[in-house]
Amino acid sequence: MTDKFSLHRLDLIWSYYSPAIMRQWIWTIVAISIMFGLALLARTIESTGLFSMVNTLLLFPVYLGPLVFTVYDDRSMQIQLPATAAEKATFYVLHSLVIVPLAVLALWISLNSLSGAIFGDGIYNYFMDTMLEDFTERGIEVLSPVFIIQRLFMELMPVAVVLLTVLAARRHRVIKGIGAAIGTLLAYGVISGLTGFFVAFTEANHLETLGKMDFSGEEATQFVTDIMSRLLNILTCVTVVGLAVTIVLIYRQVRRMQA
Amino acid sequence: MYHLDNLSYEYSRGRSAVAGVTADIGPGLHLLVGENGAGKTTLLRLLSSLCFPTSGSCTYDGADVSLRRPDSLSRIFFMGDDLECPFSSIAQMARCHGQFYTDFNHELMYANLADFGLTGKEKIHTLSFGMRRKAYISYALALRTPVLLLDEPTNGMDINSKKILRQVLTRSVTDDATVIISTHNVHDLDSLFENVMIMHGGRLRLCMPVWRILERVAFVSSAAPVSGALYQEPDRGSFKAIIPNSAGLDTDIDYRLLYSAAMSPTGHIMLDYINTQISQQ
Repeated sequence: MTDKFSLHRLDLIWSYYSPAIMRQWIWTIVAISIMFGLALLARTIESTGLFSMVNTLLLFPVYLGPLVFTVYDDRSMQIQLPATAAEKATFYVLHSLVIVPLAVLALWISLNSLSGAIFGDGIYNYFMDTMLEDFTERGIEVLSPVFIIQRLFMELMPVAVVLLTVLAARRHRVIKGIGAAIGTLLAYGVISGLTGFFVAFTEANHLETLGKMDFSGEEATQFVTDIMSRLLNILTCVTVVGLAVTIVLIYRQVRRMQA
Repeated sequence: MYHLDNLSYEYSRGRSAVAGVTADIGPGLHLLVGENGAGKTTLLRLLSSLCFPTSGSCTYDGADVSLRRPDSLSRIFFMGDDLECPFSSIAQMARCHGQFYTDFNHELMYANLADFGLTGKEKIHTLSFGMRRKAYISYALALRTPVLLLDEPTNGMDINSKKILRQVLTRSVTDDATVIISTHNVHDLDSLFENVMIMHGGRLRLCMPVWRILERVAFVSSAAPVSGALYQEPDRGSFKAIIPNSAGLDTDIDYRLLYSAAMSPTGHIMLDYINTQISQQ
């Protein structure tokens, strides 16, 4: 048996976890179906607020995807599995950060297309116009590649933290995993607020120095755009670094896990 | 062949669980005994790389076990007394987990299960503790790993099942396999053991084949106290004793007596006698 990274063993690890993953998918489909029902309701009553709430809730099956590994409570079986730590960690990371998000997205897109048959226009398409208007007023280009990539990294960060928590904790792994997801989102809020304050403060200071505190309409829009752009760039850098560090910690945790 | 060199393990608060264990453990059926908290389970976890030693080393066929290389992991399987099967049935476990082990034998697994009155399709959560143990052991033996470590395998088993376990072990374990069984219920499998390991206070006080122990000492019973005994104790009106076997007596090993002797305040006398005799040869 080779000690080098083996795709065959990666496949065997998938087989090992497949019963629990299949069970989790049943629950995920049920949850997304319920959310889709709420989205249909939002479309019927034309409520952007309800749709935004559903859009946020949709991310929770992704955030909590790593909880599937808590089903396998016995660490001894996990550690003894004849695969390298790199293979095990790669499986955990691929499943949690790539497969689950893509699968949830694919399911949602499918349901959205199905809703097009009912309403003539997909639910998501219907609400995007309203939301795009709102974002553009705030100076953010929602559909730009940069924004999409920024959002992607930000949504993956809680997933990585939940995965690390689930692998590191010995007891109460489900509760700690959920707590880690909520904690990461709260931390985002705090960091965003502090960063936004810092950016706005430095921008305002800069403009005051230049004697340019009186805005015309276009200047005000540009000012907001500049702040939002800087804020997003800073948050993205923080997230990318945080995500990379968390993935390294995940690999380390798998390597050093003890029963 | 395991080679343990000054193997030690300490918990995070500094309490020592295993201290300075040095031994060579070869093929055969090994009995591992010791008092509660002696370090038996920790030793088995070190042998199976479930935990990392604080100091010292543990190698199997020259490979450091703590590196957890797939080749080493596929040759060792540890079944703890608290094993929780993550699958709904043993049949599912065989499909999802067994494929990691190249020598896994489905027929042997089903034969072992049948001996215990199981089919492998039963839902694990519906089985009693004892029935789960039977199912896990049937599966573990069918993995055919060169090393099998069993922690209290007879826990929860009824008397008949323990007899069946003897049969199942005899059928499943090959001559070149290393099977270490940690148990307090020595009588359940006493006729099968070829080697004895005694742990006391985190230290491996004895690690020796049974035939060698019987070369050094004899286990006798007498109506009166035996003079010159390394250890003796009263037993229902007579005395059971361990004496130096200078006369070359052919006796059977009494594991319970050996264990009592090793655990007694003067146990070091007997153990030093046996171990010193070895080093003198």
